[in-house]
Amino acid sequence: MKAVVMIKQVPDTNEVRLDPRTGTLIREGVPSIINPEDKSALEEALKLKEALGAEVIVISMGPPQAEDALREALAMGADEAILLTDRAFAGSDTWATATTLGYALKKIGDFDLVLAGRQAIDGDTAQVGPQVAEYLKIPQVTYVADLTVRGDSLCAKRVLEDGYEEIEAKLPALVTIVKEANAPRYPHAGAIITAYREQKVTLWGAKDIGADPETVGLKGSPTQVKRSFTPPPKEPGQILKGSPADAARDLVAILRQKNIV
Amino acid sequence: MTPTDGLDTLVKGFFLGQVDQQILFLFPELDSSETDVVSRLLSDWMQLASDKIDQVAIDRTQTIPETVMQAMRDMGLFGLTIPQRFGGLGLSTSAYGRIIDAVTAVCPALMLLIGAHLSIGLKGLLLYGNEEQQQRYLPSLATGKAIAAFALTEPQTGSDAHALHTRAVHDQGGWRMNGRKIWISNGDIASMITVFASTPEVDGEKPLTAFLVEPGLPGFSLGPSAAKLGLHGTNSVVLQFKDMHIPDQNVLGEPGEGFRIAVQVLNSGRIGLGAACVGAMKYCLRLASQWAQKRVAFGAKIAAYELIQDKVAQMALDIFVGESMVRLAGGMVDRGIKDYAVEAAATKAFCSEAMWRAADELVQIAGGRGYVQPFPYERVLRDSRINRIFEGTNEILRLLIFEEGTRGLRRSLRALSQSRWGMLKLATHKLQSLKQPALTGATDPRLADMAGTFRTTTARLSRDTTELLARHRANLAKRQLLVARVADMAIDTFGMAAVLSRLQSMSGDSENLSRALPIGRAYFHQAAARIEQNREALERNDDALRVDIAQVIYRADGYPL
Repeated sequence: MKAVVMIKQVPDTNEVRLDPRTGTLIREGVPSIINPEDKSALEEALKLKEALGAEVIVISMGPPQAEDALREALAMGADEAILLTDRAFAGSDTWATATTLGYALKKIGDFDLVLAGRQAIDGDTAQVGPQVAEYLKIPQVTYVADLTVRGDSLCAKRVLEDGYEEIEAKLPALVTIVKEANAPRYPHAGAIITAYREQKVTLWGAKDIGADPETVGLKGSPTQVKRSFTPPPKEPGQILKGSPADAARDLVAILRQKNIV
Repeated sequence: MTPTDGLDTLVKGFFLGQVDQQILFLFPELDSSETDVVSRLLSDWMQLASDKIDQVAIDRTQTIPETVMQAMRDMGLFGLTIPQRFGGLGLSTSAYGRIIDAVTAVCPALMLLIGAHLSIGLKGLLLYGNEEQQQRYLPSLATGKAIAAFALTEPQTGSDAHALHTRAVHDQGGWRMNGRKIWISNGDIASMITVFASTPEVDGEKPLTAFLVEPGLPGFSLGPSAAKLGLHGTNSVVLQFKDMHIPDQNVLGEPGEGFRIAVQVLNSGRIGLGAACVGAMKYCLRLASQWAQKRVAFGAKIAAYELIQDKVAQMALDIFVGESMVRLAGGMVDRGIKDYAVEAAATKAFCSEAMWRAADELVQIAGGRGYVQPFPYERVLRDSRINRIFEGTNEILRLLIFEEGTRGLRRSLRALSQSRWGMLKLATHKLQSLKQPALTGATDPRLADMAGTFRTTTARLSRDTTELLARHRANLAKRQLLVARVADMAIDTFGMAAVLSRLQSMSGDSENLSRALPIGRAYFHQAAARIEQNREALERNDDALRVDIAQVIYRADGYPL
């Protein structure tokens, strides 16, 4: 079987610090990592590789430096890595990104399973995975914490707000994986050396995947960022002291004053 | 006559008033094929550390959990410097230094585990082992399935390795070994131990031989483990050999070659230890900065007070200098330069003392919290003290820096004094040594002042040492306080060289250079002042008084008044 894992390179938010003067994020010098839940998706795929001999392909869309994330995936055990990189892809929103990934997946063709993380820690949209499934017209199972593949179908445990849901789906299908699913492996240093010195990352541009220029990048994006800003810090709360009866009276007074009650 | 023969080494040249710019101004950056690998490995290590390694628990329980051992095996950390054909990673000394730095910043006990294994335990096998021996041991050592240890120290023998009591004599196609080793790190878990023993039957003066000992064999037993001040989690144990039979094929190198092997192994180990101290200092600085910016006293964060700022600034200086020394010395090894003993000794001495300063000031910044658990500060202090003692005490290293460092200078002075017109030539030599070595490699104009200071310093080191040697001749070796001052001057001169070289290498990266320049300048200021103080004390000191006081104390067996 062939499993394709979609990964995104993101800034390591654990390492992001705030500029004390401006209150904005300091992005300079922040290391890039594989989006954590994408890494969990890769780990799920690698488990399928060990159990069923699946071939694992990782694919990412991003600037040339995203190659580093793909090398890390190779070091972890992926068989093949593809980077979708082209100036034409710049300015993509989630829709155009999903379309671009969709073109590439169609080019790969004979996949049985597509995996992705639930959402990326930089955008937090959780949209790209489902949109790719829609584009490819295959079943999608989101929020997956446990995945098994039997024959031509998968069985997945979905994490809901108040419990779990078990779902079966026919392959080919797309699943998005949550962090709880596993603890991604650390690559052996020897595999890192091989990934950097011997393995290669395939680069695909817009032409390679036969993308219609109107459907990718800024042109293919129905949404556009109007303005980015840091929300003003929340005002500190107020603690009402005194006996419960006094506190309740004060509370009602305040709520009245603010015209809430 | 200004000596001009290429020495292919740095500090020995400084003593001659020469600077090998080939070495100095190619500041060793990592090989491009190693850069990516090392940075990926480092980020995986930091991830692993935050997921799985609890250094507080390792210290408290005095054990490294098997899960941590296994994770380190899975990452390949036990094979960092073992060649790829034996299943290792074949990383350079420079790359190894960067990884050891990061390992120590997470947990110094894990550094000792890896360091005792790679830096010294199997280093002799790497350098002197024959193909068959390497085939036999290295593959399992590279995976961490087997661990290595290095056994030199004995109850009566520390730094004076010539005086070993452990003996091996010829016996039935092999050797019979008797004796004891103490404080052997990894000794309890090792399955291959490089053991040094005196072998009186071999020709030579006090001949030592190195053996590859497998602890499972009859005649070997483990003694108790020492209760250590710090670095809990790794054990330092007693090894006992009672009529232990060791086959001929387990002799490392040639019989009688043991001393040379021990010296070579320790020389290269000292660079790794320097890197470890740098990593520990980075951890100190992070804790210091965090606490100083959190703690409020007298209405302000203590970070705002100059007395605290001075402490954290000094830590940054020490880290920068130490790291530059480690990289320059490591780069010399990677370039195949054989003679780096003086640079390695200077690196170890500087870094271990800087580490202790940093740990001490960290505790000071933390105040009362610095002295008690569960705060992390007291552990840093405990973990760092050994660095000034093991792999050659810093006192011995100072004697070594002088003895080895001035070898070339002494030889050329001897040649001068024995030749016709010796005195005249010596005078000319002194005159010429007033000339400062040219420094065409320091091209960045922002470094001009520092390059000038370094040239003056090198010329003075050479001139002062020449005068001192001429005045005291053979007696100088006994004047250890004078010798140590010269060694201190040499350490700072090497520190200046390393900093200058590194700053020059940053010349194209203005942003980084602008951050590093103040650190470099502050160090140059400090080092120049220290060198001046040492120079002055070569002339005016109270050494004789101190020697007399010590005699009175020894007679009274304590305080004499």
